[in-house]
Amino acid sequence: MFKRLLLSAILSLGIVSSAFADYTLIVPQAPGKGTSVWSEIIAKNLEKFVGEPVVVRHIPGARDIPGFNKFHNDLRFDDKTIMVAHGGNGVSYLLDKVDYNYFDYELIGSMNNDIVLGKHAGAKEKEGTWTIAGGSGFEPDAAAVAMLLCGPQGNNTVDDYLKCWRERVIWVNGVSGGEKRLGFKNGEFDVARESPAAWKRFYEGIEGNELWFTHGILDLENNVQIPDPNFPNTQFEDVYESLWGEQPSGDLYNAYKLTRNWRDAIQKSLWMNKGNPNAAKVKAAVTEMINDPVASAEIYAKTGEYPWIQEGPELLAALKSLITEKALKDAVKWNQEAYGFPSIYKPELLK
Amino acid sequence: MDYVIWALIGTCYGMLVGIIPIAGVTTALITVFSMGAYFMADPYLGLVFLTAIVASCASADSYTSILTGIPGASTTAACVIDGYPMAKKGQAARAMGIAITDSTFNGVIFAALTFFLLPYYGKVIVLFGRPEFLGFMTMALACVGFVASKNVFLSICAIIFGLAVGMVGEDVVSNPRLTFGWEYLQNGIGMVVLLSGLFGVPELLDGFRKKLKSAAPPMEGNYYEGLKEGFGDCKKNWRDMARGGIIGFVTGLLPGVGGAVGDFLAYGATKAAHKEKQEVPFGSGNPIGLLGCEGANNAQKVSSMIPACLFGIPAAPFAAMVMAICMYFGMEIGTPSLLDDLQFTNSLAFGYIFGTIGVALLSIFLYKWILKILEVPFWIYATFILAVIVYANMQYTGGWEDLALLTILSAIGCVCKHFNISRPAILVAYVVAFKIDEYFWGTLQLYGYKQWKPGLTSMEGFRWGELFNIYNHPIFLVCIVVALGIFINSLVRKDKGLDYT
Repeated sequence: MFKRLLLSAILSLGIVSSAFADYTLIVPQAPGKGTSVWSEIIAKNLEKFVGEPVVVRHIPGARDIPGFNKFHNDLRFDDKTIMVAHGGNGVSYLLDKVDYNYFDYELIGSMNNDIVLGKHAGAKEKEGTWTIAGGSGFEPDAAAVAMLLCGPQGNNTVDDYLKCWRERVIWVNGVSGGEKRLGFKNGEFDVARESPAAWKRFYEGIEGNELWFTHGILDLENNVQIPDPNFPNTQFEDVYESLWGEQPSGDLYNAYKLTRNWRDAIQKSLWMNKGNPNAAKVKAAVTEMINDPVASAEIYAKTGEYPWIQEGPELLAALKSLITEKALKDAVKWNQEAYGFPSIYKPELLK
Repeated sequence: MDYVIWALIGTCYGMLVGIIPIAGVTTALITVFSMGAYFMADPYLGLVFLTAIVASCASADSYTSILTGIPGASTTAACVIDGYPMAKKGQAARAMGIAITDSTFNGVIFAALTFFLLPYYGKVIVLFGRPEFLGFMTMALACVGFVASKNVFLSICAIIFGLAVGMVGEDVVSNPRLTFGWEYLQNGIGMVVLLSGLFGVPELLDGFRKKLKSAAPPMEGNYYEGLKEGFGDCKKNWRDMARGGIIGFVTGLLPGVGGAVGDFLAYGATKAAHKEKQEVPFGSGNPIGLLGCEGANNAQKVSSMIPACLFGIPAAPFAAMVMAICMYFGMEIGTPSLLDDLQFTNSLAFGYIFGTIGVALLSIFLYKWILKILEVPFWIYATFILAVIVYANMQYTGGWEDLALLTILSAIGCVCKHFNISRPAILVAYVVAFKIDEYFWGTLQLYGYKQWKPGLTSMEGFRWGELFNIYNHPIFLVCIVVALGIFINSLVRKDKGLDYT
């Protein structure tokens, strides 16, 4: 029995070890989650243009940080390893203890994306208590919701908004995507939050749902936020102004802009180590992939049609310009006290 | 056309794995896990493929039980009782005729009933909020622990272990929990590795240990005449066949209780319904005994998908595997909005019905090849299956950690098998654990529990009266009462329920 069992085990490992291939996309999530699915689509399309097999390797972990840390500490020195990062990684870079640092990498391509917020048709922002289902990546969305519900508050400090938040909002942590949708449908939750593609799939055209606002997208050339071309007239600042008669401002707004752009401008992005000899080749392949109608149609089916950014230094400079001591401290405070998240202030980000 | 092709591939593959002794539907699904990425562009295609595998494997499992006396899977063990003696008497063709008719009849009827009505069951789900889900999960947990095993102590061990495994990872505000400093565990323990370790590997090792030889006994007379006789038996005793299906269907709805329990219950019910003296006693090759239990397995497979689709609770290991693979290609089974998606329910129905009918036709015409497959030494196909299981598990990170965790869980699976610790109970406790945690905190927060910052919480102003009000949450309160009832019943009952270890 043991001889056969041993032979069986050796054969098994032999078959398995022969099945690994070339370029590797490191995904910091388990299979099946949003960025993992996006990565599979990218891998499948990219290999046509890079001319070599591209495989996906998942390294999941708490808040999707360990996979990115492993890339930073070890895997990035491999010439054929590409990191896939999502918006949550950008927010964690600001607010959590992480090893990774975007300034050590070369941007291969980033989808400049958006998030859609919905509410029940006719719900009045200025009235009643609102129940919101939270989750990771929700930070800028809920801050925007707080500003819309509360309007101008004293000096618009984070403390002013926290006071209003505790009076007006019931925050429920740890609700998965599908259950958020059910909770919104049966009235348990008052706010829907989706990617643009999911909004179109699950909410658009259904009676009782109302698109509330979007965050817009980054215009890198002018370093300003512009309306989302897929959802015109829905940008947060405009919705706020039409409701409260002025543009949003103050500490929470600055903290919001910081986390919003660090999430959305790099919501789906590919990175290689700085100085990687294959970076130029992969970047060119990504450019070809973006310009290929078949490949891009497959990608946009998952994400919605959003522009890519490939100018790494310019993008990082734009994002860096939002990091100030005050905005960073306020974002940490808001995260801790409004959502109960274990965020930390990292002064090294100011350097 | 793609749908037909993939349904056919699924049917053939499911049939092949089903014929292999001991390797059942769960093993078949583990081995196709790494194909998940292929279906990303069209998840419905993947769904058709998977359900065709489930349906054909469920039927083919029975053929092995009948022809070799070795259960094709635990869910067809009852078929051995009368099926194998029939084969030994040279009536293998007649027994196959019964198996084919019964599996097809119950598979198609219950698949149609279940999948086409799934959107209507979906209307119920809208009544569920956080408290209702919490109550339902508590009830599911009580069911699996105290209905699924005779030994209450071992059941409790299984549940505690399952809950602990399910809690590994992060809490609701993303703090690491029960990871013992191993970063790899921060995303929790995946369904695929747990199923491979608890079920896949231990069953294969058991086959090695028993030095399985599975050649079928010789058949007497004309094959097609025998089949025809089997079809006639089913026509004459259709009530027994339908009873078996109904019992299988009902047991399949209960998390962790389905599987072999449904088959044995159906067999017991058939015996009870035929108290008159039998020409051939039950257990000695009585065709009624075989047709009374054979279709229960197929009906159970269908109904096990209902709690999975409605609540995300897999009622059986194979349903957990279907959920895990679908997750891989971006389809989250248990997401309520899927129930409104006609293509989703149609794909389930098409795959299952195609697989059920397809395997029946293949079995009729490829009988000789089935016998040939059964003559292949166990260690050859077990090696292939083991390799695919290892490969499937290494799709997670590709690192040594995948292998380490698979090895640890396989060792635990073998221990559980040896000491009759209910592995389905572990599985369901694992699934329910994370959800109970999520719904528990969700319910608390919804009714006034506040967490201002890490370490600073408050229950001040918690609305107990509103939560425990029968008019606000009748489903929640009924579920809690039923869960308590099951728990108390398990403590005072003399027969201590059914054994499903």
